Amino acid sequence: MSNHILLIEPDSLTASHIQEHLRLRGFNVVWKNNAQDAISAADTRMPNLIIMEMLLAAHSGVEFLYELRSYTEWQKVPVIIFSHLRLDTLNLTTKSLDKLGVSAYLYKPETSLRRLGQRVSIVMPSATS
Amino acid sequence: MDSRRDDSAMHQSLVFGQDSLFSSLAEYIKTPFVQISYASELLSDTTNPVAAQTLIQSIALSSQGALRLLDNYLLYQSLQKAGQLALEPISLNAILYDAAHVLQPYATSLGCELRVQLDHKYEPVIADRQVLRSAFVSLGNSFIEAATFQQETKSPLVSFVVRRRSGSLNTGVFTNGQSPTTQQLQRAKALQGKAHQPMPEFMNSTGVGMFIADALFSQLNTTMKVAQDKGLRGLAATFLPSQQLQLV
Repeated sequence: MSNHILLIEPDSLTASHIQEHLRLRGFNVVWKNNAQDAISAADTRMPNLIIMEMLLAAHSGVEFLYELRSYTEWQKVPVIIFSHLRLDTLNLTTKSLDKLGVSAYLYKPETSLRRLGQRVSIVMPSATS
Repeated sequence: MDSRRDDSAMHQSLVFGQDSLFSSLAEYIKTPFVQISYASELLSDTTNPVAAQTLIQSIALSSQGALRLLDNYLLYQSLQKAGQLALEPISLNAILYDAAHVLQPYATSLGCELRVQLDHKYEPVIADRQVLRSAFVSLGNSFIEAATFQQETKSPLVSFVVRRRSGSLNTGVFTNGQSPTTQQLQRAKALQGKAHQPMPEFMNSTGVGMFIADALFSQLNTTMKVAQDKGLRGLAATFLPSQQLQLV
């Protein structure tokens, strides 16, 4: 199965809406609300894609990304950032996002579930074909 | 001259306080609006009446949460402008039951148990009913959110409690999950409006409900402090029971 998504989203209601939409598009989504549990979940089952919020408790999203990429087996897992924070409010450039293997940065208040689903399908074409 | 400078410094500090509270509110309010937007999108796609009903309920809860927060902020802002409290004898027990009643649907939707623990029928306190009620609703809202967010808390519990402590009434909101320490609370107040997560150990949001509660308590000349109650941790404010009303 190449449709396994790890969703890291601190808000349970938002997470359930994202999960439901992606499930209807044929994706299998595992949801975790914090970085530590997300690392454990990725360890248990390698995701084909990670969708993550940058505002996480205890860890910042950037810290999580650096930690994720420090493990050889997770260096190639694509990541979509789906966040309440605009990219320009972070100390990150598009170049550094590329370095961290971020496939897309989507600002949540301006992104519909449909658009998120479309981006996921672009990153994981084999899952929906 | 000096007193004019003091007045100006105090005015600037109040304006900064309001600005930072507003920034926290604006950042926080994105979450319920995103929830509503996504639920509406799912609703427009579903043909299942049960799923539709669940989504409609979630839209109602998200809207109510956002409106509650905006109302409490506006109450604080109006107090800042008018500075007039409608003081009257109030039963803390009744205020806590009322706050818990308002928050019950939100707590249930997140799987959080909500309790009101009152050992006695305490004497009334002199306060502004709306301000006190809004402060406890804001504080309770933040604790429910935090307790249900902390995944290590398997059965999240939030409890409204009144206890007598050496002549005064300690009234607060407690949880079996994480609650800020005095140091974390002080740091959070300093970071309010500047950080997206001023209390990352406790909650993932700006925690604006807690700051609004703090601001409302300060209008009543009391302070929100870190407290403990029977193994639960939380935040409480102290009120003096009205001596005159005890005699009536």
